[in-house]
Order: sequence, then C-alpha cells, then structure tokens
Amino acid sequence: MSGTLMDTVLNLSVFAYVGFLVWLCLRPDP
Amino acid sequence: MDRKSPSPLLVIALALSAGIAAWGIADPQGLGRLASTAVATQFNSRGWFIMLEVSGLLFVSIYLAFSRFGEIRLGQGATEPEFSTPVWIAMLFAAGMGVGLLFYGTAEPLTHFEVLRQYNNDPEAASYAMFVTYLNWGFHAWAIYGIVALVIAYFAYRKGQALLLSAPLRSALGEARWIKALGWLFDLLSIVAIAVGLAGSMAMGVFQIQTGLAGLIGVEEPGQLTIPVFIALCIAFIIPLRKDLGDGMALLSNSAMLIAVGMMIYLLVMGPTSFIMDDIVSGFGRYLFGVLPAGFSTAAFFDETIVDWFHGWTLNYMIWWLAWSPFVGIFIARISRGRTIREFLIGVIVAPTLFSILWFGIFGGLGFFDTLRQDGALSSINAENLDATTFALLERFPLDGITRTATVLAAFLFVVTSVVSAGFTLAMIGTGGDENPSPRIRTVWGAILGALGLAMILVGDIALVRSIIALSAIAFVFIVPMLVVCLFKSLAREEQS
Repeated sequence: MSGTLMDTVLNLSVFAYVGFLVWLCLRPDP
Repeated sequence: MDRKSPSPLLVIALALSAGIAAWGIADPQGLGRLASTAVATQFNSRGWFIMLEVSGLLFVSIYLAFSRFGEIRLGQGATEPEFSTPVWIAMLFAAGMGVGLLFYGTAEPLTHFEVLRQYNNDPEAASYAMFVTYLNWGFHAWAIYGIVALVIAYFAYRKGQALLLSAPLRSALGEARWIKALGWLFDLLSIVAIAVGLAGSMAMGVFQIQTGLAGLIGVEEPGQLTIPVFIALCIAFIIPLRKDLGDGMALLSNSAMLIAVGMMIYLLVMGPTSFIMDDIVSGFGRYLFGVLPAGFSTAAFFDETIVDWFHGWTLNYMIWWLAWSPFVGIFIARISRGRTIREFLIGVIVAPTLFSILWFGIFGGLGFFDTLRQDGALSSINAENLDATTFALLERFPLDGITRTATVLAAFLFVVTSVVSAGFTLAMIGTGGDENPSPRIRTVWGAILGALGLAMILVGDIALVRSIIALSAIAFVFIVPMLVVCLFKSLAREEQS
C-alpha cells in the first residue's frame, strides 16, 4: 500500500472511531 | 493445590507475551526495526489525534475535579481514605518515580538542547529544552494516569467491579456479546502493554546499572556486565514473586525513593544552588503558562529534524504513559479508595508534576550549568551515551563513589519492585481480577517478564526499545477514550438516580 493511501486509511479509521465514540455516548443505557 | 484450569485470557496472554519474548531473543534487530517502522507510520498519520487526546484527557481531568462530580467519593457511603494524605502522596511519587527519572534527569534536557540550539540561541534553546522536558513528564502524563486510575477506582469502589479495564465496559455499556468481547480484548491488550512496558524499563535499568557499575569497579566495557546484572535482577525479583514478602516490597520501594530524593537534595545543596533555583522558577513559570497550548503541538510546519525529534520524544512519551496507564492506574486505584474525585485528581496530577519539575529542574539545571557556564563536557558525554550522563554528573561532586553506588542501588531497587508489582498485576488481570493470585502464576509471569527483558536488552538501542513499547501500547490511544465515555455515562446515571 502506498504511503499516501495508508495515511488516508489510518486517518479515516480515526474519524470512524470518533463517530463510534459519539454513537456510544448517544446510545441509550442498557 | 489450585486445580482450577487457567482461563483462556491467561493462556493467550501468556502465549502472546512469550511469543514476543521469543521473537525478540531470536531476532532482536528484526523486532526493533518492525516496531520502529510501524510506530513511525502511526505517528506520521495519527500524531495529531494522540496530542488531541492527551490534551483532552487533561481538560476532562480539570472539568471533573472542579465540577459537581468532584464531590463524589470513590467508595460506598462515607468510606474514609485508607492512607493519610501525606502517605498517599508519597506513594504516588513512588508510582511515578522510577528508573526513567534516574536515567533521563540530566540526559533528556541536554538532548533536547542539542537539537534546539540548531534553531535558537543557547539561552533560549536551554529554556525551551526544560519546557519540553516538563511537558513530557508533567500534567499530561499524570492526566493519562489519573483518568485511567479514576475509571478503574470508580467502577471498583463505587460499582463493586473488579480492578480490570473490562469492568467499566460491562458496567456502563451492558452485557451484550460484543461488549464482553471488547472487554476481553481490553484486558488482553493491557497485559501485553504492561509486560512489554515493564521489560523496556528493565532494559533501561540494566543499561544504567551496568554503566554505573563498570565505572565503580573499573571495567572498561560496560557490556561485559550485562548478563551478570540481568541475572542478579532476575534472582531478586523471582524470590518475592514466589513468596509474598508483605511490607518488605514497600520498604524496598520507599528506600529507592528516599535514595533518589536524598540525592536530589544533595545535588541542590552542593551544586550552584542559585543557578538551579533560577532555572526551576523560570522553567516552572514558562511551563505553567504555556502547558495548555503546547499540549496541542504537532510540529506541522517544521523540517524533518524537528518532526523526528518531536515524534521520538514527546509523542513517544505520550504513548509510553498510555502503555503504563493500566499498571500505574491499577496501583493508584488500589491506594485511593475513599478519596473524592476532586482530591484524587488534584493529588494525582499536581503533586507528582511538581516533583518532576523539581527533579528535572535540579538535574537538568546542573547539565545546563556545565554546558553554558563551564566546559560543556557533559553534553559531549550525553551525545555519545545517554546511560553515562547521570554518572558523569555525579563524578563532578564530592563523595561521588557513594552517590554513584546509591544510584546503581536505587535503579536496581526500582526495577525489582516494579517487576514484582507488575508480576502481581499481570497475574491479577489474567485471573479475572483475583487480588491474591497464586505464587505459581506470579512466578510464570516473572519468568516471562525476564524473557521479555532479555529480548529488550538484546535489541540494545534504547530508541528501538522505546518503539517496541510504543507499538505494544498503540491500542490504548483508542481504549482510553472509551473508558472516559463509560465513566461519564455512569456518572450521569448516578446523578439521575
């Protein structure tokens, strides 16, 4: 995988993770 | 005899740690190179997120300490703290003080100075070098420890959960299968991070002890002492892991701390006291008023030299603190039952940071006195071999035979007490939170820590060792914010009920 593509993938995974955190915060309590 | 079959977590954790150790022993340079490349990729792409996160943790700590949540006590009802505040603060120092402070006291500020003087005049480079050292060892480091410790303590003492990283997930997010699986993974990763982090610290201790010992007994090549020192360390930590020495370990840890504090005071008094005090006061002021913006530094607009330096030190440290956070967090949680969130966070973040400022102010100040006011020989020694800097500094003062022996002894005790404590913690996590794990499991962990330590020693280069530690802990960049979400969800629920 080229350096730029890898960089993009790693950053997109961080954005996805932040989205996951937001979802976790908004998720109703069990 | 305990006939219970070991849990899958314990078996996989042991196998994984033993596998890393075997790889490191068989091909230390290969492991080092792989870690170095992988960590460089992570830092290049995700460095901004790591700095954002550690700054966020500091802000979360400040918010929790001064908000209404600060009054919540880490215990049921009116639980009183187990230890008095002065004893508690002394124990926090012991948790944070370790072989790293002995190793880097003078070496780190001088190393920063050599890079920064290429871009600034000498006084500014020295001042900024102290600032960066404080940044690396100060509020951000202790906010990472403080938040992880707070989450563990809150769920253990208020919600009756085990002292594990998986406990907050289950308690705050429920018992769904994916949450249980994630919790299991958190425990496994915390075991790997603790084991590799400890092994790195052991290697650093061995490098320093062999250098000091070689100077004391007149051995030309310190490398000749590597194996004897390593064997002595292994014998010293396996005994207390096999047999519970009770308060004996606390006594050894306190002795190491007293030696270090005594040496710090001795150097302050015997050295250029007013120069050191000037340096501490100006460094403290610069740090206090610059720490929050500096926490967001990313070296975005600088050349490769500065970017490499920033990745190799500040980013690496932040990952290092994350690597140690389960270990130190569990220790701090265990000694903090009964404290309010406010006193807990203020105590954990402010007191050790002030100590670090004093420590580096004195050791770094002496390095700069030599560099800026004398012949600068220490800088040259530091550039050649970081392990030798502390001993070269001590040689410049009277009674250096005693102080150098005391440093070797303190480093030895710091490593032994850390490994013993880690052996207990690893066995505890691996057995699902058993606070008195069997001596057999502790001993197995001791053996694996020894093997991992040997692998790190064989890697030989402290920069590569730091990369291996960073790689083992990179997952914690993603674990710690989830723990914070669990804490806030639980606090909100508690407030509603």
